Amino acid sequence: MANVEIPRGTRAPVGPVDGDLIAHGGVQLTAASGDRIQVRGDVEFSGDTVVGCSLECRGLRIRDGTLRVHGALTVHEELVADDSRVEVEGALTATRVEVDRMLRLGADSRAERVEVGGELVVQRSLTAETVTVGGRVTAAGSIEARVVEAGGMFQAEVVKLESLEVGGAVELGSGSIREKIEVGGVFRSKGRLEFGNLEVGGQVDLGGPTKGRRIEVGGTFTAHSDLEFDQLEVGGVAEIQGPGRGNSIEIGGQLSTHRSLTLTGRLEVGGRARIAEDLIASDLDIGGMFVARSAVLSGNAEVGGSVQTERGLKAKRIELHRKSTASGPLIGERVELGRKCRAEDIWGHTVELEERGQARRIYGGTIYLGEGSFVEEVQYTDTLHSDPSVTIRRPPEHVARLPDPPL
Amino acid sequence: MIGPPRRTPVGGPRPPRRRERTDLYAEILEVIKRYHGQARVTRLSYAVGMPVDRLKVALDRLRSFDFVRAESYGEVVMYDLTVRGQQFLDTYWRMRAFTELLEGSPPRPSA
Repeated sequence: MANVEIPRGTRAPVGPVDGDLIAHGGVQLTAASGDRIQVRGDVEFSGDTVVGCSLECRGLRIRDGTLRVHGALTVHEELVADDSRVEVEGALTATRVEVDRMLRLGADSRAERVEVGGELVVQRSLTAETVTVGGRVTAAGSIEARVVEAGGMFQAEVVKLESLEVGGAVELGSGSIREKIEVGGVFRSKGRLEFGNLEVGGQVDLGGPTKGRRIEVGGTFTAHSDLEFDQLEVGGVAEIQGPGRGNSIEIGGQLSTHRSLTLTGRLEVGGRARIAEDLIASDLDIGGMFVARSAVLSGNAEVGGSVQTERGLKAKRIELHRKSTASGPLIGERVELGRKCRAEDIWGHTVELEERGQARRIYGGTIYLGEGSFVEEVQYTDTLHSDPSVTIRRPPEHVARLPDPPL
Repeated sequence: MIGPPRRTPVGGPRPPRRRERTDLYAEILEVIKRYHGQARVTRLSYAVGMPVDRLKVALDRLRSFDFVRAESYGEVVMYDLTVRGQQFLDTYWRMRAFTELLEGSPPRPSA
């Protein structure tokens, strides 16, 4: 096997090499015939090197420089670039790629393992098994891989991945991440997105229709379009601008929606929840204020602050904490209002108004009115328990049938 | 690293928040985390865009807080994230999201 060695600073046409090709700094290589240099063995470049055509070899090692390949680069085994940059205008095909500084891929490229210390730039597409980048990944085109990890930032137009782990920030156009996304800082998407689990320490901003399983966000969450999920957990503030559909939601701070929200499970919000249209869920637990056009719960509703609905809040059991206020009808099998609560119209099999509560109308089976309560109108089918200090403006009516509730 | 405070134009958009030393520490820790115990100083230097000598000072500080641990393999030192380092990252990102929210400027990518 004959090796070929190119001296420093040479511009040389290179024919087929049977052995290894070794080139020292500042060389410019072209193909002696055809559009490619073929090397049966390994290639070693040191310093800056320009290959003006395509290059095919068994292994490729670059040291302390920049390799620019104007054609395609095919490496049957390993490409290792120590303290170096690699820029390939054509397609890169390799088994394993390890580049310390920067890798720029100009055309559709493919490798099993890609590891870059600094920055990876993908101008068309990259298909790989694993991609690990210490710093930043920028892909104007698409990335398809099983695992992608980046320490700093990941930007891509289209992705098809199984898992994505990024330290700083992610900006995606659209695509799918089948298993999980883990991001330390910020996650943003522009278009349609589908994923398994999404775990983000800081902020999430979903631009297009999104479908995911579990979404866990430490800080703030915004979905600008339709959102479908299994569980949504947000430490701070969440906003869903399109229709939301899922199993359960747990928000530490505030929740607001611009459309309806449909859950098969529980909605739990530490602070305020504002649903612009209708809420359907199994249970509701709100620490502060709850606002909705209507809310229908198959289970219980517990509100610490106030309730504002246009068409009503309906649940098996409704509990309003002391000094809560409710505007809009409350409809439940059991409705309990803490002391000094104020409400408008209430329907319930059992209605309990604690001490110094106020209500406009109460329609119930069994009604308990605590000391000092004030009610304008009461209709009941079974029993009325009323303290002598209670004021009922119109005489209470014992009726056979109550008026129909609005929900 | 910490420059003079920027002026906010009246009624205009808020400028992005100034990069603090904790931002840099978080960035270094996130890169270390991605290398799963195999993070070398040179690789970290390329990733965070920081000269090796300055990075070593930051790494020493992170080690002193038990945020990272270092293992020597011959002449090569590899860094790994500790549980305490992960706790710092969790708190940092969560707190940063709240800070951005309260200060009203959109969060910007760290890298």
